[in-house]
Amino acid sequence: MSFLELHAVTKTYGAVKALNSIDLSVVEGSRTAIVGPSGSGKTSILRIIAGFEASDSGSVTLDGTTLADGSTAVPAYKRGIGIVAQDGALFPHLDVAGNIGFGLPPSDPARAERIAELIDMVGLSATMLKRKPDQLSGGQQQRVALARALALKPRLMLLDEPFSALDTALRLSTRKAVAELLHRERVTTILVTHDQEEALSFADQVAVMHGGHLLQVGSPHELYWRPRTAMIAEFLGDALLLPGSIAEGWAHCALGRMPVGDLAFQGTAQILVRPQQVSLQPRPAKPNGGVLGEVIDIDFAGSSSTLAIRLMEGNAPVVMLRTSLCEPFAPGEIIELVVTGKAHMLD
Amino acid sequence: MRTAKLASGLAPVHPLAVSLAPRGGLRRPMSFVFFLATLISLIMLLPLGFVVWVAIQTGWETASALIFRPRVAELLINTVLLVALTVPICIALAVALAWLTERSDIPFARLWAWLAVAPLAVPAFVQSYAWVSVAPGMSGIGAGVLISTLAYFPFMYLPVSATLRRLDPALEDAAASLGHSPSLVFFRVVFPQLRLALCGGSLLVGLHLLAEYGLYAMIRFDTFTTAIFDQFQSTFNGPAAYMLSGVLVLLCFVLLGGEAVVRGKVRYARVGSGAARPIPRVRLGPWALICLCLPIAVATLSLGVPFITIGRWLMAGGSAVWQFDEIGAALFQTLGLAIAGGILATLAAIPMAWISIRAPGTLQRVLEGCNYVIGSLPGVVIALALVTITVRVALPLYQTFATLLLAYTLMLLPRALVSLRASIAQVPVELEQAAASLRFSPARTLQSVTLRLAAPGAAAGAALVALGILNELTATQMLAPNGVRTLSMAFWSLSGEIDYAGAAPYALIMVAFSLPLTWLLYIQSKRIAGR
Repeated sequence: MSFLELHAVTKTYGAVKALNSIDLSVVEGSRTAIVGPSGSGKTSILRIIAGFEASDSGSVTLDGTTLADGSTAVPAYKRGIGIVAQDGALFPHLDVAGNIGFGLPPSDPARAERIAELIDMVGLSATMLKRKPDQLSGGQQQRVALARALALKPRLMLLDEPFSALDTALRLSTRKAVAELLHRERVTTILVTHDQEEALSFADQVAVMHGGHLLQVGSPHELYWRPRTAMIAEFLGDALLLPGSIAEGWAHCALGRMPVGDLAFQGTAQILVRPQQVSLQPRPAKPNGGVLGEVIDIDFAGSSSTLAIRLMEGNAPVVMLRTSLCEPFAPGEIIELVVTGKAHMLD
Repeated sequence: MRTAKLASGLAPVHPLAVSLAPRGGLRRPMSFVFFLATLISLIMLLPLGFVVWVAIQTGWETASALIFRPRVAELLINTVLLVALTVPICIALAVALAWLTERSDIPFARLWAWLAVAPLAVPAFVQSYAWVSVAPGMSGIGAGVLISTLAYFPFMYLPVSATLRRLDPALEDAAASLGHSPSLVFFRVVFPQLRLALCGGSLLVGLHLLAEYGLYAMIRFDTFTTAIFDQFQSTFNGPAAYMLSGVLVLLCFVLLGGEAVVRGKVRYARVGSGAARPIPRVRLGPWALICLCLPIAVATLSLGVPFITIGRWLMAGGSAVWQFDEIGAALFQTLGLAIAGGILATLAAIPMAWISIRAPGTLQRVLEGCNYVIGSLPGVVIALALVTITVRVALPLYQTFATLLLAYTLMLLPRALVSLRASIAQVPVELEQAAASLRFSPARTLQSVTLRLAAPGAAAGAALVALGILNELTATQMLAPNGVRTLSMAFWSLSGEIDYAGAAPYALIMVAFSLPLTWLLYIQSKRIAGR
């Protein structure tokens, strides 16, 4: 049974169609990530769910209650949906305690206790309660914003790129802490991000957006290994895309012969192989099932190197492969490429 | 060049600083600009020094006899009541108007926004003249509060509307997601963030109330300023006028200090960059018609009344009131003074503005603070100080253009400083460094890079100073050389003789010249808000 349901949600700004008939369902207690390049409409979805904006048509239901249907909508302040914005949006005129307790009734005798509990929950020290937002680091601001949103025990939590303003190390730790906390509190969450790694690691369900369309929705694993289009495949990570011919469950392409899931399909299609499926070896004395290629360029970048390899099969396409080998090969060297696992056939 | 290389190798030294060092040696950077800024600030402190000196000279016994008397108590009650009543009314009016024009979908929002600034084009004494013409019986505190509010509420409206435009809409979204209805969001999130704007606006309105002469003289409402002016006219520079000035200066300091305390140290810096989302406007729906009544009423009272009055007197006076030779002379003299004063104040502001941006520090802040404090003193005090100083120390300067222009500079330098400072801040220091590396001397760099790029801001500042001079009455009357009769002086003497029709052309010309300048203020406030 889905908890949040978007049906045919459409939104235009002037001549621009920001959202084009969006359908999305979210299971209670789950974490969904909406990922897409900037301008793809992902933030618009979030704002329509939160009630900050009204859709032109379509409906939004939460836990059986209709929040928006066509042009009628429940106002944001009656929805009970929490939101953490990109930069936290902390009230600059209030201290941390004032921010966290903003939604709690001022007369509540348990208010101070609840604020202390919340700041502890997001992993900050109670000594920070008297600080002003501009005395906090970016990560601390985000945690305060999260505590503020959690104070009202929201039915749904919306995270609008909350980690993108943080530096890499802080981003990882904050993301992990937030994911664990939301899981522990069993809060259904929707995260909007342009960072595919963040989306894949954070969510149970990932939705890829592009140009106002939801291209594909599924588990992180499914989207990464079985994307529907080349755009999704490349957006979610490094991808080798090669033309191939398919028959009886096997694909033939410049990287050799490999199994595909579909036994019935006959004909040509684009084949996806992820770089981590490909192992590189020095040219063996006798071939052991791989294909040969010539290293034509090496781009050294510390922990990894990107190799440009001209394959010696088909019409000799050049593939780019990132590898973390300690001693990558030299330009001009002939090496063997061996693919393990299944290839994926794009539509 | 050798010096330049040496210096730039030692520390991040400003290119202008380098040239100040004598050939072949290193010296404390920027000493020349510092020297100029300090000198100008010291000149600025003249009136304040005068007040202190007079207080010491007079002695406690005479001073207390002059200060602690029923007349002073009466003036004090009048003045304090005036400020205590007018400022809150201005706050309520400005916040309501700013909300309607910036945050609601009221029809013709831009028109109302401009009409809320336009009353600045009507000099306060013209506003008063218009109301006295409409209702000759007007007098007392009620009339004072009404006319003052109409004349000065734009000073509150400008910062409040600029702040409303600049607030991060994400904050209001956040409050809504925490279960706050729109009206609660306004009182708990929006209004508290207007604190700085309200403090600044209140200070500005308060200082104008303390300094204004013509408005209250016209409705026979006595404040410290009118009392000092009357004393000056009857006894020239008697100790009574000095003592009243001392109390008035103290009142100004109370306002300045009070504002500093209320404002506090908090700066509501916007945390993070925020989303570049336009702020949504509230749909008024059927309320729009009722809400429209407010801007219409305010525009009618603050602009309609003066314009209709001037128009009526012009019609009544016919062609006889257009004494072109007299009007032409007044216009010529006023424009000359306004332009000269605007240029002088801007030139005087350059060193101060430059060091406060390029070499900020404690001393610089103190120097800059002096300029603002003096700028907040009433014209009557500054004029009284300059009269006394010239008569006693430099008689040849008494009632000369030089003294009059100095008074204008003392009073209006902050206007030039604020504009210039903001525009110099926008010139990247890298450009000055690039010029220095291209062998531009510091003076040439300042002239052809910094000031060239800051020119629009400097021009805006000069225009605002000119606007101040155009509508200045008190100091002009006390200091003007013989034979000088500016627009405001001519207006004042004619309306003093109850020749309201004869005064009308002068009022019209002052308003007509001021209107474009208030448009400049309106545009500037939008730009500050980043639109």
